[in-house]
Amino acid sequence: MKQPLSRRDFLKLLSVLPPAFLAAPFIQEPAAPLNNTGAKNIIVIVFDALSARNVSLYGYPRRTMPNLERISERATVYHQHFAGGNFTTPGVASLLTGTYPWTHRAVGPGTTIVADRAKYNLFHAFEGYYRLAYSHNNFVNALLRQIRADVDEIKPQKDLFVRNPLAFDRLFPWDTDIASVAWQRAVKKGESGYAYSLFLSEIYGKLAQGQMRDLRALFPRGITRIGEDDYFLLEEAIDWVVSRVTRTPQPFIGYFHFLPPHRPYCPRREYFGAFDNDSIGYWLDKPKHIFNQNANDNPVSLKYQATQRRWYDEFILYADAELGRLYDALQASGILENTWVIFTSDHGEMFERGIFGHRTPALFQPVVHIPLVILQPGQRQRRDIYTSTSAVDLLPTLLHLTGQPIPDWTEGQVLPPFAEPVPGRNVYAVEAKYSDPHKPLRPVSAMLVKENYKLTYYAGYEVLGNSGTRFELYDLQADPEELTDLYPQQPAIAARLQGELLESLQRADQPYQT
Amino acid sequence: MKPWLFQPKYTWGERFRLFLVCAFPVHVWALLMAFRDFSWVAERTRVWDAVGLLAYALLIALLESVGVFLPVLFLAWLLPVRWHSGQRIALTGTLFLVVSVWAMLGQGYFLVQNPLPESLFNLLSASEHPMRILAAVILPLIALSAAIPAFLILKSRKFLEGVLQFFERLTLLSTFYLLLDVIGIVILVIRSLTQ
Repeated sequence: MKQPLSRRDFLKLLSVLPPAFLAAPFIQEPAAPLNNTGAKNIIVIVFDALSARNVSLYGYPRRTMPNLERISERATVYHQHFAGGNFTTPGVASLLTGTYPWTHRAVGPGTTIVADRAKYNLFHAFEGYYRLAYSHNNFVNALLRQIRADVDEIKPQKDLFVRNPLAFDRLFPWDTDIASVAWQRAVKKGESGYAYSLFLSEIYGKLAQGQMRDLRALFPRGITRIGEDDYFLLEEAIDWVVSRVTRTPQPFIGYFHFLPPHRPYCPRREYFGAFDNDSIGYWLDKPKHIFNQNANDNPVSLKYQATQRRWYDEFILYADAELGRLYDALQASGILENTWVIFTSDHGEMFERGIFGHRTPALFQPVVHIPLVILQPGQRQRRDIYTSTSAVDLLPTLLHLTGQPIPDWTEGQVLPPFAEPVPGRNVYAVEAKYSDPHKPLRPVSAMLVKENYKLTYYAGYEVLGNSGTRFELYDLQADPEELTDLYPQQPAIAARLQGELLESLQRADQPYQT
Repeated sequence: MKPWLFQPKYTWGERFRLFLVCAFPVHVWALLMAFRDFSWVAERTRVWDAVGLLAYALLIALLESVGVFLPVLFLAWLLPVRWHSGQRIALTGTLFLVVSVWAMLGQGYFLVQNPLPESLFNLLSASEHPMRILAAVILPLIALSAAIPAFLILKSRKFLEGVLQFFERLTLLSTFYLLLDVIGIVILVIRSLTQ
């Protein structure tokens, strides 16, 4: 006869639970491959806010990325690669959908892709692969959550944060956006000095300070963080990627988005002050732009410009060291023999013309010119590509490289040298963070790069009188620092590019005309 | 007879009343702050998200109420039994309310634009230890604001009755907040199921 479970038996069973929880992380994933098709894996590594203009691989005089230089000796280096927009949401959405911001419409901070475009994304295109992703950046996580049906594994953002003692928002995995905001507002007084909680916020603050004491010594300019006090270590994220991809069923596609060198610039002690005594200084004293953040009353000094640039460069140096560690670990594991690795960024960062960071309507090279390096399995020689390319090209390129058809909805093209470059090709970037994505984009900044020329269009901004527009034209080959606006001097070229840019923008806005 | 340590000092009803007193300032502050953010969130996302934010704020307030209630109950448990339970409840509840008001003032300081007169601010900035000066002024004020009602509760029957009547009204409001907490939890469950 079957005995009923006694209280003693029940307690014995309970005692098994803690070891089971402890063991769970080690017995989660199957080590066996999903299939044996021989398809190559894909790893996309994105460093947030990494401007190609500050990368030594592209000629920047400070040696900011020696490891990337080393890696590139066996890779394809793209010298004129452009982001889809000038901040994370449009930049990453362009990379994931193979479309420009005026098409995917994820133009505002934290906004998502329009529904009929979201279903066509990088992960959806690789249905037969094991698909995994991680991002430090909240905006990227908003996009990943939107397409989560197409991703087998999204590592929760806070799993790789240093401190999460109460983990309140992790109790609500399907509502993390608002749960995170609520947690932030409830217990983290931060600089504002107040929170929803009268007492818990006080205890939390003290607890946090105590736990961070040791790490603070390692990071003289503050511990790497998101917002005010969501601390993370790039080292931990890199370690996780290495351990995860070497245990992932193959073929797989992994998208890993790391916050450094995004502001705040907090290098580890070894890289702190690395460029203190060089002669780069403020780089170039360029004229203030109309989107100068400090208007006329409080001009930003060249000293500040030099300091910000130096701190950013130090942070790049730190990120590069971790990139080198990641590359070495992947190489040692042998996985690189069977894996395409793409290294890029979502947008850049600028320190000139009175504009700092990337919260700007401007589309100058420092905020849109980003690195792209592709490591082909087995490649031994470096290749350099100088034609203009875009973030929207990654999706069709990866499909092409893995022998899949290129869908007609992508606005990108297969990157050279994997296909012949299209002569006279147009590359765009769009910034419209203050626009309603469901209406024609206003205010808007749009950029067209064609051959040597770059035309930038600004419309609907207060500084332009709301209805005013502004065009700028630069010759990127003769004037890579964009010092001379050729718009008044080259009317024929300007008119041709202007026509093409406005027509493309108008066509994209067409479905949203009321 | 049970040793002192294990003697029941309060009925469940009295404990619950003390809990409701503790819950009151915690909920009032949480709701005030969350409503400040309501329009900000609604504008950036949608009203349903702003409602969600309120629901999370209420849940955190409920957890915090339980968290602060436990040490307050411990304090009440430490008080001598020669004072009757009404006195002890009034005393601990009042002390907690006084501390809460100071905590609100502490955070409220940052909500008000230019709260200190410039001359006073300059005077503090010029001193070598501004924090010590502030502490020297504020700590006696806090002590006094706690000592006066405590003394009156123990010495004046009229004041004690007034405090207990005030608590009656307060606990009624707190019960309403607890009802809101339940609604908040239902909202959070719906949000998690429908996201």
